[in-house]
Amino acid sequence: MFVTFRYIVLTAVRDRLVLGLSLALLGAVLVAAFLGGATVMEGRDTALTFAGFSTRLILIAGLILFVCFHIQRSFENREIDLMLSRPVSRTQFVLITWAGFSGVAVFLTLVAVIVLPIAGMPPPGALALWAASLLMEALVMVAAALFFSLSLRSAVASVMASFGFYLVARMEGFMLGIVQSDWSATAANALGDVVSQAIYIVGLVMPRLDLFGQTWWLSYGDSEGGALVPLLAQTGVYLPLLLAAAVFDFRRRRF
Amino acid sequence: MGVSPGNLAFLAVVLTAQVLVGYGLLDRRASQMVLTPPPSHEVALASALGDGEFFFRKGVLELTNIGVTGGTLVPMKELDYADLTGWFSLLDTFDPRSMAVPYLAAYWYGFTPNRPDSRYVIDYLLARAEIDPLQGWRWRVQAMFFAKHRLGDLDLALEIAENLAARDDPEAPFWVKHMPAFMLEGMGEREAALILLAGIMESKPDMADDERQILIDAIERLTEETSGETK
Repeated sequence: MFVTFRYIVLTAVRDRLVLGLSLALLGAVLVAAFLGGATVMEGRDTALTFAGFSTRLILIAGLILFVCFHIQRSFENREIDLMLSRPVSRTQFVLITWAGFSGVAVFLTLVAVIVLPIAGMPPPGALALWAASLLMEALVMVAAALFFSLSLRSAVASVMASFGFYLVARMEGFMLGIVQSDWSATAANALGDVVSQAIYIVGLVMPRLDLFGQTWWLSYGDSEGGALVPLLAQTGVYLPLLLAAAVFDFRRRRF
Repeated sequence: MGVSPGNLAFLAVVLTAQVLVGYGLLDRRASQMVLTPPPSHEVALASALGDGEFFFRKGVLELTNIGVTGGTLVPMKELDYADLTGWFSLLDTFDPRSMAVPYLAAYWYGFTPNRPDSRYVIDYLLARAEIDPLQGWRWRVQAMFFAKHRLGDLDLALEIAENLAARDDPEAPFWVKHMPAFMLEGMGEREAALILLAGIMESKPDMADDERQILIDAIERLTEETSGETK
């Protein structure tokens, strides 16, 4: 099993994913530092916000692309058939593959944490909170991309599905805000009861990724307290759900 | 198979064509920032993928540079101040701890040549003061100044001054108690502004460098204008 883990990590290095994404993260932080310097006041907070936002997007997009294209290539090269010919169950295969991609995510999160202070030094504890949140978001998205790529086979389709999933998950607050707001009656009239109910159901099924990686933590720290608790709960529930769905689908597949 | 002369010639032709097209498009502005009505809080949050602080910082950066980007210059007097102060209020909901927005309102957009527009800024500053227990007195002082010297509404200025004097804001310096008398004095606009700005700086010795610099710039600008008029 460790061989599969090592293989994925080596692939990430061989494909220059680690080097490319590290440089992209560094570039994003430098641009953020420049933008922070261009503001009239609160330049450090501005730079940290832009750096936090852009590094998160780069990290998630890079991981999604890597996972989806890696799995497609493994299907095409029959590497997956080869791996499954060894004494490894399909459940073990899915879990160790996710662990391999997660190893890459952990490393790239560390890179983000190392380069982020170039934009400005966050308050004590804020960087750790943001990094923990970013890592949890990355682990969830790695699992989602793995699920889609194992289910859909086509790299383009799985990339599109993963990005769609991420966008909807990050806009959950917006959609729930519409149907829960003071003008929800107006919204219900405009959208129709069916659509409003559908948004509620989507809100129940999708993870609340909009709560993750809030860049205001980098400026003020966790001033409201307990920011990590809902994120741990969400990750603790959704990660097993995605992995279980991936295992379920992969076990039904014929080779 | 190598590269044939035909390939190279075709590459040179299309590259030349691109340079010509690029030259023809040089005058076309890539984007022109226009002050639009502010979106709802939910839409703003969605546009930043759930990261309200990013929307806030991006909004502050855009408001700082509004009217001077995209190769155009839009004078301050041509801005729609109802939309502008709508943006101020919207941005404040995303980060009420930041001072960037009230600073922009108090020390930049409040000095619009179209004086009736300062009414929007006064209303914004008074609303902001209500949710800012520590720095609220500063925004009230500035609103009072705009009411008297930009809007020419002494009744409103006195009302704000009396409200300011009657409050016991923990961070407010003692001199805010004298604001009603200050408003009744027949002092010139720039002289009054200089006194207020200097008073704010003296009452906050721990002020951040960038904040202090904004006030120093404002004092220098007003001093230069005053000396220019004297000559």
